[in-house]
Amino acid sequence: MNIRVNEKQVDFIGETAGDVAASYKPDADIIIQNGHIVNRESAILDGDNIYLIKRGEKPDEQQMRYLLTARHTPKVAEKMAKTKIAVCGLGGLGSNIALALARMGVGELLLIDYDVIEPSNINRQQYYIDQIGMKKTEATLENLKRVNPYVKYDMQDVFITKELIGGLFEGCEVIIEAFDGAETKAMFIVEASRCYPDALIVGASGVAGLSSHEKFRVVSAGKNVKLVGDFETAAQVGRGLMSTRVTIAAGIQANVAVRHVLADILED
Amino acid sequence: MEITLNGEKVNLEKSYSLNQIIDIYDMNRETVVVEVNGNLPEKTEYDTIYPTEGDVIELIRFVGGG
Repeated sequence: MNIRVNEKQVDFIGETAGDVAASYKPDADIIIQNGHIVNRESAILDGDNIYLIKRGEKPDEQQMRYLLTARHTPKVAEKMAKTKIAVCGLGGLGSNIALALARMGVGELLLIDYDVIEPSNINRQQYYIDQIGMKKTEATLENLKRVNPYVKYDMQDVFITKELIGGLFEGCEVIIEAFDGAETKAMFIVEASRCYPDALIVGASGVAGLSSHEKFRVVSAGKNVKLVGDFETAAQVGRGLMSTRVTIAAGIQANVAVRHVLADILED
Repeated sequence: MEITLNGEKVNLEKSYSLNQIIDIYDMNRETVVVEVNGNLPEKTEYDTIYPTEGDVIELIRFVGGG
């Protein structure tokens, strides 16, 4: 019978999942049949999709593409893999956005930050205690490679000024603003929108504190800008940035970016 | 002179620059982005752009945190 084993079409002679493993990957300790983990006695039918995994073994690039395609559907996975997205600032918003986009299998990520991880970042940013003191670009790369080593990562350890914006983002379909400072945000949004009229610029304003996530809105501005937040809750003394709320804003920003990239495929 | 400001009709007794409008609404020039008829002019133009009758203006407020 014809089945697929680790993405390859094979003519399989045998009856059970264990037979498949014995034929194609004897050291496999996990067998996934049509998306579900099964035991070795599970009966194999014509057309089945089998994935054999050895614990701790890193999937190669082709296998990784298959894993993402199986979850995301071929059109989504193909389009994501051809897309370049920039994330500016790798704090509470940016570190979470970058992680989400790496999991989505984006082809290329341009990630920019000049800062070092401080103890006060750990309450919300996607870093670990043993990474305190590291450059955010270095730590982010380390973490993202554990999630998806096959994204092309371009880490830039720079402080973004207005003058730099025009030269940084060639080829990016989406440019995500994830800075901390209000002035930097305002400057960046206007300048990036002007310099890259064909890209979508996704910014955020008002993500601090613990107000309801229902106050978050997505607002369009200019021809190519979308902004996420409540536009009120600034980070200030007595109102810090919290993991639960800032992570939602990051998720909305990432989803706005992905929906833009997949606009021709999505039905809504 | 009537303009639309953040979705509401507003009557101004005279023409103000974008920066003056930001001041009138007690907002911060550095952290507000102004949309004029669907466009985002450069912040350096906020002193020289004077909205005219019927213009649609949005004052977009940026606050810190990210």
